[in-house]
Amino acid sequence: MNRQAREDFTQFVAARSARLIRTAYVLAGDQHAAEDLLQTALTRTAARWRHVRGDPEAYVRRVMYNEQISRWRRRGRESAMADVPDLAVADRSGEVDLRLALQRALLALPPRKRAVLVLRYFEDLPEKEVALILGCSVGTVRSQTHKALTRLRDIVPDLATRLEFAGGAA
Amino acid sequence: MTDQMLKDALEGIADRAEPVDGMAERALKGARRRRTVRLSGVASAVAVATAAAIAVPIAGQPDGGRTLAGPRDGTTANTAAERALARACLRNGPPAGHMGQDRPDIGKARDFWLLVAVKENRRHLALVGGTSGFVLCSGSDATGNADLPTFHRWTKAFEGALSVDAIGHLQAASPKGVRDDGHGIVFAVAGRVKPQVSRVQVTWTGGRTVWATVDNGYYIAGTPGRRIPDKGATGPMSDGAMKDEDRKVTSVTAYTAGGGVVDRWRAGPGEGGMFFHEDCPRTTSTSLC
Repeated sequence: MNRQAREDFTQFVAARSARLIRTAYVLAGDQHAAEDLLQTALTRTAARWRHVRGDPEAYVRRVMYNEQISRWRRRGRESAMADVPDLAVADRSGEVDLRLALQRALLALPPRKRAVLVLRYFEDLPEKEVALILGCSVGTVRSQTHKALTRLRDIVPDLATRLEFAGGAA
Repeated sequence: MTDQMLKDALEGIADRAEPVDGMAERALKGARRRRTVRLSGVASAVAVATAAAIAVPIAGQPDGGRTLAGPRDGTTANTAAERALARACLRNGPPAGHMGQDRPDIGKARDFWLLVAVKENRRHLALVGGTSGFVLCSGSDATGNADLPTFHRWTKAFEGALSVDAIGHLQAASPKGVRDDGHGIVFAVAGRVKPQVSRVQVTWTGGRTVWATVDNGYYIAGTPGRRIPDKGATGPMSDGAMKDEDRKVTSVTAYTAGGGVVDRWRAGPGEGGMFFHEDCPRTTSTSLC
């Protein structure tokens, strides 16, 4: 990478890292893992900088999603449920409590299911684009979304009576 | 709105993220190391084996191979040990694309076989492939693959007796399976040969010559190298910059069992440093593509 390319890359990271670390955090679940994920994605992006077409941020995001899923796969699909926190909600009528419970439930989802929800609801991407990023079919995106939402309701039964998700009513 | 609640919950998680400084610098350093690893580096496993500048066949000497436009099919099944090595090279999953993305189009891990390998002192240099493409692997019994398995597509149907399909630099692994200081690399060459080819010889700049391991229509050879301080680096990232030792493949020669030369590839200007067929559309290289 020549000097100009380095400067371009450095400016890109300076401008976008604050936004990218947010996505990384949602995918990875904690600060340390998020930094590691983003670092990996940026390193891959830097290595391919000359070949990146279009918006580099989209490229980085795509790498992050796939890297996170790959990490999960390489670890033998370890159960994210091992870290499922106590989801008892102190005040089931409280909006804040419910949101916190939902957040904890999201973090308890396996990375692939979480990635689908992040792409659909955090990034606001259409199913077709989600499928493109994850390298699967639109049908798989739909089924993964449905399963993820079902899983959320399983983890937080209260949600089933409080929410009607796009992936299927409770 | 339930979708909005879900979005709010995800936003709430994202809000916990703290800004990070210095990511660009670390990424650039990592990219340099990655380039060294990926381009140059087949070899940790093979580094020792090739230190003597000879390739040690582990799968038997070639029996003449078969006419191949791509990797061998399932009729030449791997042994249990070969399957284990292939799995290790793939890290028990299918290889990923260069962006780390899933590549359902390339099949699953079971669609890849060990095609040819050099093994020495618990380290290996291997070519693992399927009908669509292949992975170069440098690793050890303990690490499997010192780098992430990266998929490269077979794209060239070769007409001669010899095809140079990959010239790469791989991260080296130590015999105990622990990565070394990170500066050890393996320069690797792999490809396909027609049945009449029994031996393949690879020569790098500086005159280092290695007899490749040839097995069932495939060959692979490696020689150890190092990353060295990049004294010519400039700019804010120059401190501690490293670069690959400068070594390129100058020729690959295919021989019959009787010692006759049946095909030879010679590097043209700018060739021999690193090459995968998928790079062809973006390169001016012609003889390899």
